[in-house]
Amino acid sequence: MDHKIAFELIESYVFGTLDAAERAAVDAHLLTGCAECTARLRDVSELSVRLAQAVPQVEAPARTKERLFERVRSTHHPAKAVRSPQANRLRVAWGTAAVAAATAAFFVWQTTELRKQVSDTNRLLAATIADTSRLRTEISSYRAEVEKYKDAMMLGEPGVRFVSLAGLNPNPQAFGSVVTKPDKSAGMLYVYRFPMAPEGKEYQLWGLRDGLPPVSLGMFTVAPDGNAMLNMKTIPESTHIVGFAVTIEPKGGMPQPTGMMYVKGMDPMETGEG
Amino acid sequence: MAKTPANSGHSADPAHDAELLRRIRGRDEGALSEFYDRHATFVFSLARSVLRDEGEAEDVAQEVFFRVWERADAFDPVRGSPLAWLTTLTRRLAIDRTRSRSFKARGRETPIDAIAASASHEGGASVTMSAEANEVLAALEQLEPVYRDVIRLSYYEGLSHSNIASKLGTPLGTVKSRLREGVTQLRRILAIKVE
Repeated sequence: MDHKIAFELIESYVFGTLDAAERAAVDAHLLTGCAECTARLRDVSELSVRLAQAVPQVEAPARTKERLFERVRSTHHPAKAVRSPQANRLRVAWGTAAVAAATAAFFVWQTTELRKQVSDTNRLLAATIADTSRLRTEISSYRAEVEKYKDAMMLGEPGVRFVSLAGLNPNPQAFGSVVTKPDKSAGMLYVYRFPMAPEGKEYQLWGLRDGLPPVSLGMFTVAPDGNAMLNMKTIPESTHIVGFAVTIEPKGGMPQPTGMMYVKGMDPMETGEG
Repeated sequence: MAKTPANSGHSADPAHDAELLRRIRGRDEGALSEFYDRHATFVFSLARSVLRDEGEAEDVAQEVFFRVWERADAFDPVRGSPLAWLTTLTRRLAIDRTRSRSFKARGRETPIDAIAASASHEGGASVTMSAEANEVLAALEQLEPVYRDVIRLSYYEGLSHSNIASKLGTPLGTVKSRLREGVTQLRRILAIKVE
């Protein structure tokens, strides 16, 4: 990362508001040993401490420390104690009984350790099973996504038709496109920047026919981000369709358009512009 | 929940903290225990102010001290004091948590103002802000509103540059320069000297 950019991000780096990629980039820059950025980091860090001291101070619940140390002990295996030479000499002097007692103690300790390990393993197994179940759910939702886009990918064959849809008043920022197979037997609609439909209303896609009433091609709702996709597995009256339009209609759809039109576009292949 | 006594601002002894971190690197549980006792209230309160949720703050506090245990070697005295390191770590973990899908879905439990208000009355004990806290709040008051706003949104609300720009309807570059200038002015008012 360029020094100037890194320097500008130091406050947010210390305040913790950078995203992971920006944070990593600032980290990498600081690792170069940049004196100016390091000095700024130190200054802002000390200010951050002062700002933190201004929040109401509330004691952490006692169980937080207990939980911390349970976690520490479940991961921490202290190193074996190193015996001094004097202890070694004393150890040689021990009698058989002492050795036997130590051996027994060792087995008791080992049994306890083994029990603890079994218990840890069981906990790990339970967590792994839970993770597996969660991953299965995720995989199945990804599969559903892939299925949704399969039809769209089929449209990648030569001769595919593309119709741009332009936004109309009162929502000119909306736009979209209809992509159909070369014979227009199936297709996909993509729209963007649509307002959420009011309660009891849905958007309806129409195939516009030359000299004939429009034909309904399906209903759809938009996601909170204003985008939507409609998969038209079959397009009725496809040979007569020369364009597409979207209107807002009562839920369930209407036989003919009654509501406000949001986007419209004509097929350039049919209007002689293509 | 019990509150810290009035006027008990968090103070630090950087040299002692650095020594505790050195012992923690050597896997000294006693040192971790002392480090925890010295800073748990500070860490928990800071996480609570960002997350506005006691349970989430408790999880973050535990994670912060576990990271201290696991990664005490990541502390670099060239970059600031142990308490500054702890502050950055706490804010980072707390803000990362606010960005998680589940946290966003649930929303923050209590508005920050409500937490500040409850801190004075909860548990029947009247708690006043520490002298250090009052000094910082007074310093913030001395800032021009344009600088105070970006510091408040960045530090106490945990918003990114772009979110602040969007919230204030201000260009991104202006947000960055105001934040930098606000921090510089605040340091000057608080007369922060870094050794």
